[in-house]
Parts: sequence; structure tokens; C-alpha cells
Amino acid sequence: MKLSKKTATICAFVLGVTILATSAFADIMLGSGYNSLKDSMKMTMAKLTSEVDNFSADVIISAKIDGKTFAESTSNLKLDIAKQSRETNETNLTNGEIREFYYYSDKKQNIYKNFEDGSYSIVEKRKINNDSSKIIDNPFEDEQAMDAEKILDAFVGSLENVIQVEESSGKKIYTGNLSESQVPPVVNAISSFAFKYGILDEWNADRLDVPYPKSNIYVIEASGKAIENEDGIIESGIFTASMSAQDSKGIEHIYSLDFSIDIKDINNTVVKAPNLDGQKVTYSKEGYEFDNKYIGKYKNDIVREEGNSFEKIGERFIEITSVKDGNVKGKYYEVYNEGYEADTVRSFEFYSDYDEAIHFTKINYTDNGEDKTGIIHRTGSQNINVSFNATINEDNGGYSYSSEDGFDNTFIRIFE
Amino acid sequence: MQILKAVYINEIFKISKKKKIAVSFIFSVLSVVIAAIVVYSLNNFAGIRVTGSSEFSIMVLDVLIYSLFPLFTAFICIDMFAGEFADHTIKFTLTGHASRLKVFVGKIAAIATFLMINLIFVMILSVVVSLFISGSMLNILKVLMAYIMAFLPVFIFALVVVLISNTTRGTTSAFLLSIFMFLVFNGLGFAFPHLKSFLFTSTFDWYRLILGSYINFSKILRVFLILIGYAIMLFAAGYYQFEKKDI
Repeated sequence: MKLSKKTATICAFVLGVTILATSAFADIMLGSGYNSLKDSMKMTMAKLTSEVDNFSADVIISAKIDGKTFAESTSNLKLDIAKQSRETNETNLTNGEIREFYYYSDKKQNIYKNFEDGSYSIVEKRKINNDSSKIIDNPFEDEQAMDAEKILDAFVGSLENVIQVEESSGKKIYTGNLSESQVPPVVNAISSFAFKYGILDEWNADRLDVPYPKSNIYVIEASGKAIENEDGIIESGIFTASMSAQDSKGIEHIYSLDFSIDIKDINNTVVKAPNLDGQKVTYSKEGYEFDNKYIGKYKNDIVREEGNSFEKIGERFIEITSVKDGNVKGKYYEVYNEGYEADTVRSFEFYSDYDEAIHFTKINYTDNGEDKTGIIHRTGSQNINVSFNATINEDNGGYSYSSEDGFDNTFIRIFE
Repeated sequence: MQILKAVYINEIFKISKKKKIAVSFIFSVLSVVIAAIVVYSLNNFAGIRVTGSSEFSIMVLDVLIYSLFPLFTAFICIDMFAGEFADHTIKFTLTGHASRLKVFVGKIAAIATFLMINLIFVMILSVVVSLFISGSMLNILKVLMAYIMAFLPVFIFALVVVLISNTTRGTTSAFLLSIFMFLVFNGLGFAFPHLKSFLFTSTFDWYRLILGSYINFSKILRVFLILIGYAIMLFAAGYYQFEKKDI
């Protein structure tokens, strides 16, 4: 049987499509180690932030030069998602000096330990905070993280096959090893640049007493290993990366960074406030910017430009008359010198309501029959800073105000 | 076989007479030299070794496989199909003894030869240059393998261009459409990473699969099959269009 040219061509075409489609589908189905590791990380974070009640994590980060540790941070974190409490113990080693850090937080309070004298500081939380904040967020739900993931996916290319997956007794083990010849030039250049100017810059190198990486910087190797348990949670992970560089004397050094994390005691962790019996404790309340010592009179000058010189034409005054539980009351008025009659001489009373704003002391006042808001700050140690006509955007943690020509925001305390 | 050989030699002769070939080789030399200068000065002034101790040749391949190789391959392919139809020189070839299939195969073989020579030329040049700029050990075997592997995806792109230039009228539209296809395929890879397996453009850097200490042979086999599938499909489609086309 002889096939016609046309039939043969069509047969070849179909054969090509079949080979292409089946191998491409197989490739998609098999996926890559990179993708399954990514899924596993997402699953872990989703479970830890919403499914489990509590867990602890140990994180160790250490930086080495030529195999010798010059900086290390060990931290132990205990989280109770159901009760919204957390406890952090951290030990940092730099320049052979050990520093400790302790922090406890629950719905009502934050507790810090001062390791110099063994005392504790307790900061009582304000009510407003309690409902809105979560003790731990899923970083992968963050828009920024989602965008970053897309960019990473686009650039990872054939490198995604560096990660291998093995399964043994219900656990999945991910391993990956990137050797120097595999690191793409762009990645190498960017990470070397970041390392030299961002991570271990001249100042940091000097502070940590390690040789500054001056030339011939390149990535030697990056490798990692992660173990996913039967429940789909990554219970441990280690990662190490090393770079080679020459210092100013031309001596080659190997800088490496080790990172390890262990997640343990899932649903088995108890987070408890420290026992403060017999300890020295300082109490304070969150967000009380002003207290009684700020009651008093403050002023600044009203100045006009006359020809090529400044001329004082009057004074602005602020009197803080009472401060109670973070609520400030006071008045503002202007006094003009004789002979300078302004169009409007302002004078009004203001007050702040502690529950109105979380991050600022927001003041309310009525100027010319209009209700307005402003902001009052401490500045220096005894002075204050006031902005009128302010718009507060608390979600973004910021505010804006329309400044008047020649209005001076800083008011100096008057001591009589 | 004799006829096919004659067609092939004829096509090679035609390619070698083109100015574009000279331009292509000049650009290849320039890119290698510029890359060498960049790498050298980055190390001298900023202290960053771009290529690490990895091969300079691989870095050159990384850059050229997305730029010069596909571009000049597209030029040659368009000249040999759309170009010859446009200026009617194809008549001399097609009215001869050779069947259209043989002419088509001969032309494709000539394009493949051009691409191979271009790759070998750049490889030798970059290996020589890398001896001067990095004193590290060179893994010739891996470089050689990488350049051999790089041939396949660019060849697939050549077949895409051949299909396009047998479908469109005129060389300009063929060229623009080829560039457009190249960009669209790359763009799709960026926008829908899960579809990557279907796109030949995402296999442009598949030689990276052999550079590491761990070599995933099953992945290499899958990509190879995908590329072979593409080759058969595009060859058939390109030939079908070529056969149909009036002189």
C-alpha cells in the first residue's frame, strides 16, 4: 500500500502532536521537586496558621567564615494560636558576646525581660488592639508574597529540577544542591552584589570583626534539605549557602550561612506567662503618650517677613490643662502684638479621646464653628509638636495635614 | 540520495554567499568580546565574579540563545523560503530534477548546518576567551554537551519560522510574525508557568539539566521527547505548506 503524499504528511503531523502532547502532559503530571516543595511549604503555613492550636519552633541561624562561627542566633518560639499568646527566647552571639532576649505576649499584655538586672517590663495592651491583630499570619496569603512567587516561577527555569523528592515511611524528603557551575550568571552577580554592599558591607564587616569581601566574589554552593511529615507539615529544614571572596589583602575566604528550623510539639505546646513573683517589675500602659508632667504652657512666635528681615508680630500658646488615662485636654490661642491686628485671631479648646486612634494622640477642636481634627506629639523631651487640620489614615499608620503658611508646629515649654 | 545531496550542497552554497552570514559571525565575535569585557571589568571594578568559576562559555550561551541564535536563524530561514518565493529564484530549484520533498529536506538540512556551525564557532571562541579571563578549571565535556543540547530548541524555532514563511506572503510579514511568535511563547511561559511543558521556548535553557552534580535523566528524556514531537509536527506542517505553495 502506498500512502499518498498528503496522507503521509498528515500522519507525520499527528504523530508529532501525539509525542509532544503525551510527553508534555507527563511532564506536567510528574511536576518538579521545586513545585511540590512550594506546595508543601504553603500547606505547612496554612496548617500552622489556621488548623493547629499551638506549636513551637526552633530556629538557628549562624554565619561562618572559613568554617568558624562569627555570629549566631538561636531562638525558640512558642505559639498558641487558639489563645493568641506567644513566647520568644532568643540568644544572639556576635563578637564573642552573648545577648539574650525574652518576650511574652498575650491578649492582655506584653512582657519583656531586661537581662542586665533581671527585671521585667509589663506593657498592658489597650483594648482596641485585641480583636484586629492575629498572633501569626500566613505569609503566603500576602499579596506581595503571591507576586514574588509568580516572578520566581518565571525565572526559575530549568533550575526547578535541582530539587529532588524522596519518600520513605510516610515522610517526604526534599533535597537540593546547587553547585557553582549551575548558578546562572545573573543570580551570581546579583547575590554577590547584595552580599558585598548589603549584607556584609564595609561597616558591618568592621563591626563583626571579619574580613571585608572585596573582590572575586562568587557563589560556591547552595544546598538544602526539608522533611515533610505524615500530616503534610514540614517539620524540619536546613539550608546552607556559601560564597567565596578575597579580602583587601587578596586572601581568599569562604563565607557561609547556615539556617535550620524545627517545628515541633504541634498541639502539645503550652505557652505560659513567666512567674513574676518576687521579681522587679515595671508596669506601663500601651499608647499613653502624655502624662501629668506635660501639663503646662507651651508657646512659639508668630513671625512675619518684612522686607529682608523677620519681625515678631505675636505669639501662639498651647496650654495642656489635664491629662488622664491618655486623654489630653487643653486650649490654643494666639496673641498679636499691638499694632498688628490679624484678620482672624484664633482661640479654641481641644481634647483627645484615647480610644479614637491607636498610633496617635488625635485632638478634636472647633475652629470658626467647624469641627476639625489635629495631631499632638511629644518632641525633644519636654516640648510638643502640634498639627492642625490633619487627616488620619490609621490603616496605613499615617496622617497628612494641610500646613498653613508660616505656622510653626513646634511649641516650646514655658517654665515660670 | 544523489539528488538530495546536490540540493543540500546547492543550498549551503547559497547560504555561504549571503552577507547575513558574515554579519552573524561578526556579531557572534562581538558578543563574546563584549561579554568578556563586562565580566572582566565587573571583577576588576566591583569585585564580582559574574561567571563564578563556572564556564564563561555557558554564560555566553545563556545570552546568545535568547538573542543572536534565534534572530539569525530566523533571517536565514526567511531568506530561504519566503525570500526565494518573493524574488522568484525558487523557480530554478523547483523546476529541476528534485522533488519538493527533497528540496524541503535539503533546505532544512542546510539551515541546521548553519546553526551548528554558528554554535561551534561561538563555543570555540568563548572557550578560548575564557582561558584568558578566568583561571579556573574548564569542564570541556559539559560545555560541549551544553552546546550540542542548545542546538535542538533553536532548530525547533527554525522550523517554526519555516512554517511561518511558507504560510505568509512576503518576507517582512514572515519576519514580524516569527518575532511575534517568539515573544508570545516566551510571554506565555512567564504568565502561565504551569504550561511551560508545552512551550518549546521554555526548553531553550534545558542544557542546564546536565550542569549540576545531580542529573535528572528522566526529565532530560521528557524534554527531548517534547522537542522531537515538536520537530516532527513542525516538519510535517512546514512541508505541507511548502508543497501547496504555487511558484
